[in-house]
Amino acid sequence: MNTSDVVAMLAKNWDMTQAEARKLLDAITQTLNENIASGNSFSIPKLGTFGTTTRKKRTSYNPHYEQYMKLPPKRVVDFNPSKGLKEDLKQVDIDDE
Amino acid sequence: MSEKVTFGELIESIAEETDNSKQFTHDFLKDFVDVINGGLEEDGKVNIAGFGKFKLQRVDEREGYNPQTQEKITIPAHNKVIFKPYKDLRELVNAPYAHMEPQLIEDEETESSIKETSSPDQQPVESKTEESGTERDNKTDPEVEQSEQKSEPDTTEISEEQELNEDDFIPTAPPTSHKKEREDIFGNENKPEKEQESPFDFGGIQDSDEDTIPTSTTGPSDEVKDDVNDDGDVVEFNATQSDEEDDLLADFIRSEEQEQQEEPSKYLAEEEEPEPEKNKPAESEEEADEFVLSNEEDDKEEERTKSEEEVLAEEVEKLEEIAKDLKKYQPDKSDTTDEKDPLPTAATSRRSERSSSFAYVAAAVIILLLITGGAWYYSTLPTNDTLISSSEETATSADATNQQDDSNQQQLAEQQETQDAQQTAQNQSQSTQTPASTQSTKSTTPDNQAVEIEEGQTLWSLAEDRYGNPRLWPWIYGNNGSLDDPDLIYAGSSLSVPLPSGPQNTLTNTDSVGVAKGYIATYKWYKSNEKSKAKDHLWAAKLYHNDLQQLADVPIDKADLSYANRAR
Repeated sequence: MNTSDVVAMLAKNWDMTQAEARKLLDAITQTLNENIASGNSFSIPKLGTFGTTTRKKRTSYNPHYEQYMKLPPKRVVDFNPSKGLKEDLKQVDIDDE
Repeated sequence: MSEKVTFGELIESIAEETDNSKQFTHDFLKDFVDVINGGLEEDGKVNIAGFGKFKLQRVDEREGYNPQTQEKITIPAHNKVIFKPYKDLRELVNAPYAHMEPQLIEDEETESSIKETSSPDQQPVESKTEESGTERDNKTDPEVEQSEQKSEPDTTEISEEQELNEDDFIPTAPPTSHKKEREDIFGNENKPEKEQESPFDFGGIQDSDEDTIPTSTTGPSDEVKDDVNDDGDVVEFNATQSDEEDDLLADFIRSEEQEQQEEPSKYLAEEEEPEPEKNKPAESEEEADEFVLSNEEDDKEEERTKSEEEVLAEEVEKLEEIAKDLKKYQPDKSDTTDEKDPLPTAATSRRSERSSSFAYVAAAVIILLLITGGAWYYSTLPTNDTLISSSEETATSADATNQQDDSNQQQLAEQQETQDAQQTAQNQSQSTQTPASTQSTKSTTPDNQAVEIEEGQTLWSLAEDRYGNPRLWPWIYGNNGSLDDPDLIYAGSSLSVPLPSGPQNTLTNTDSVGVAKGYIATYKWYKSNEKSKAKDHLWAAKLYHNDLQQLADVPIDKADLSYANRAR
């Protein structure tokens, strides 16, 4: 399911045009992005918690070039699905992949 | 910065931005979540452009422990929801560290120290594997050192002790890292051919030994020094050292002969004229030097001393002959005017008898002292001397014998002035015999060792294990006619691994012929299976033997042969 599918469903549910739905969706994701990027953590009921974690700097080995690399620290998005969502989806059959 | 934002605050900010009521935004967001959930349930993934991708990932059944009860439980297979942020979001989130770039680590030490500081539990999987890699490195390092240490005594043990060499041979490996090896490949591959020429060159010098003793002795000793310095390569100085040993021994013996030849005359001269006494202290000093030398000299064990004894016994016999000759020719030297020449001008038969007995006694005493001194030194010599020190020892001893030879040669020359040409001819013939006889004891046949292939082993790694030079692997291949694909050997099967017959893991000429044959064998295989690789094997074979056509039983492709020739 991709963005246009989501937009189409939302538009249908809320009786609005897809352009409006997409605009709304973009506003939502932008706000979420901003919050995540600023390091805030928040939880959305039934979906999960978003936040950030920082990976420590580390050394890595490239077996092909036989080189050791020093990798800098990295901040990544952290997502923890809500318990309800986890339980709901645990036994769902995945078609592809 | 990292503060918790409640759902209410989130709704509020979204509502502000979209100019919608909070209620609407709340409901809309709830619906959005429902759509995502529905999408996940439907086809396992939901892609929200500009935000991220929600996806279900299958987790297989696995064993786990209940952290509270420590009970073993089976975690059933299930799905887990993962969220993969879009690139824009990732970059936005990583903005604080975006300026930092990965860095190459040249020095492994600093890298390991870094590893120590960073907590291991936080380390991702990659760094763990890398850690194990360094662990492996650390493990191999001492081995390499050990092998180096182990190989040190070998420098002085010569090929007379094949069995010992067999044992000592295995662990030697050049302490080069993979990276270094890559860089050195060409340098190393070129080296053997250069080094292999030296024995032949040296052979030429050795022929003229009798005339140019000093140069010939310095030559090999220098060579040894050089060779020791670049001990990374194994193919190097194969016959050189044994030759050098031979030479040393030969010089040694020769100098003794000369001494002994002079000694009787010296003692005789003492009775007549006082001048030779000048000679005497010098001689004894030399002798003392020689004893110190013999102590410092090569590290040989009892076998070596035994063989030395044998050789010396031969020498004694020859000396007896010479002594007889001396008796014969002494009367002829009445016309001598050289003050240094100790030969009596009018030697009576009684004196000549005494001189010969002196010769025997002196020879016996000197030999005994040498042997005991040598044996004592070898037994007390610590086993973990450095390679360099032993080489220095050989070098200094070579130098000293050199000096001795100088003086001896001088005396010999002076003797030659007075003595008959026949006598000198005999001397020379004898000294030419000496190296020949010692060499004949050292001629060896290549040994084979049965090795069972372990899992994960390749011919390359086997060669690296056995010879310290993985590029010798075709030797093993060539020695095992049963092998077909050189890239495919089976664990559990047995291989006959040829062992270098030269001392210190070095290859003799017969060995390098074997290696060349092995390379020709691999060349043939690749010629019929992987043509593109074949000519390189021929090229490598050319490094170990010049006349490939002679080694190969089938005609070699002219184009490949010219490639092998041109590539040099």
